[in-house]
Amino acid sequence: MKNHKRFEELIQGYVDDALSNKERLDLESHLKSCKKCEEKLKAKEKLLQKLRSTKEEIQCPDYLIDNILKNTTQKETPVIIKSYKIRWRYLAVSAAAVLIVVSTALLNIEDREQIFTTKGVKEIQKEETVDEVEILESTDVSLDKKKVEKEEEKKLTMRSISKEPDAPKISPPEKKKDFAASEKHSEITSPEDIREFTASEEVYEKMPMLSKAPEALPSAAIESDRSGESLTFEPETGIEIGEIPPAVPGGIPAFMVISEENFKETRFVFPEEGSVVGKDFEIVLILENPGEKIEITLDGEKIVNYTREEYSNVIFIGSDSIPPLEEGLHYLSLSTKEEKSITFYKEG
Amino acid sequence: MKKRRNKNYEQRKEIFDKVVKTNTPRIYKMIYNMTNNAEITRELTQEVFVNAWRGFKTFRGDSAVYTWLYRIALNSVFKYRREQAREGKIISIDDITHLATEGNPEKALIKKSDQQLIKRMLYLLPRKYQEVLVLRYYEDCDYLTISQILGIPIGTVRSRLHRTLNELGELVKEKI
Repeated sequence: MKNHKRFEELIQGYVDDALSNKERLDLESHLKSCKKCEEKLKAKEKLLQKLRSTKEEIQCPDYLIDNILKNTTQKETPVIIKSYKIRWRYLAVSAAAVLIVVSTALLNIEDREQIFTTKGVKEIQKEETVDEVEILESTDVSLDKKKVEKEEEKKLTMRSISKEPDAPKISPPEKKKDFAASEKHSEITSPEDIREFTASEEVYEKMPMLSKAPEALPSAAIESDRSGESLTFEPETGIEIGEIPPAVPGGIPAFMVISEENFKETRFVFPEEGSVVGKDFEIVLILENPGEKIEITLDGEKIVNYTREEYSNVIFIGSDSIPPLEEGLHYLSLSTKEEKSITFYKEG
Repeated sequence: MKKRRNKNYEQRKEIFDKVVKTNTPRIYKMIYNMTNNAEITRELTQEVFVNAWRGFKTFRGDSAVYTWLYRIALNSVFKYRREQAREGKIISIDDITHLATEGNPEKALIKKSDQQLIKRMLYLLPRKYQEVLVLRYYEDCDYLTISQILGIPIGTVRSRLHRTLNELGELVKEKI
């Protein structure tokens, strides 16, 4: 009986012409003495014939190739992600080509006015109605607690760069800073710490789409009914954080930049303090390499059921794949398993 | 630095153009055979290459480009089906087979019953079964290629095909 099972599999190889000589001879001699197997072979061949007849030979239209080229190599601004039916999102980009989009639907949009977590931002926000702020360029980062405290004392400088609400721009980095960020990033625990990410000019150079992304994203144009101005953090000393989700549905994504160093373990807090998380949200991670091993934990617990599209280096974590979140802060942490698994783009 | 990057970018563009030109027909054909809808096939084929272009700079050439594209395409097709199922818009198999024989009534007449039945049953199989079947008998991939596309051992390809055909045979038999 056991033998039969083996021969049945050999029959499969036989019809596919994928047997070794020895296997083929074995099977052929067995078929002579076993009617059952012979019938199975015939049945299989018949089924395959039918199956193959269902194949449609179809020509692809010529214009399709042109269309594809127009949407890929001939496209000036690569679209980073397609738009989602969500109210707001974060877009995080690491030097390691890690894009993170955390999007949640807020139950109470009004609450989003209170979203800022960095103290300085909160204070400033009371004075001005800020709808959105984009992170431009954070500079040298140290997670040294003292420094962080100092920085918090200094108010973040914000500068209005545009009176047109629908024209968010990322200004070029002012100066290239030391890219070696503190290794203490892996020890960050408090929400304030978590807001800190580094970037360097190099990041922008290596990822040219970064500077164009806001224009490429369709949601960027939805802001016409808003009176708010586009505000920009202008980092002077140390890092500035600044992802501030827009307070309108379908609003502008904010950018966070994560460096290679701090990616080793990077945590995000979501939703923002003072905001309410809705039932539906989606986190999109775009990794440099499809095979990269990333451990994702939510509030210290491994999220095992995330959907991972193995081909495309994109990981989706939808609200349906993780336990229901209660109101309050949650910690999403990403860490790589291998030391050197995250690298810059290798050009050429 | 910047110049070098631009040069590499240009090179990459050039290579990808070739990839598109040589591989679009086969990816289109495969997707068509799994959806039997020209419009959806066009959309999905485009999506496959847009995704591929996004990931192309990190494509390391460990495998042939077309195996990589097949993988992206399979994911796109099943993602599309999942979305359809979620939205309650599952295309009926009758639609599929109707569309499959569109424009060729004679052929349709001869093949219709068998085709309908087999296609219907094929779509009822779990994803891992459909994948091997499509790659082996629609795309004529050999075991090695299939194992590369799906990331499974060669031995598994054979046993999976064996099981899939058994399953399909049973389903068809039941209907007859």
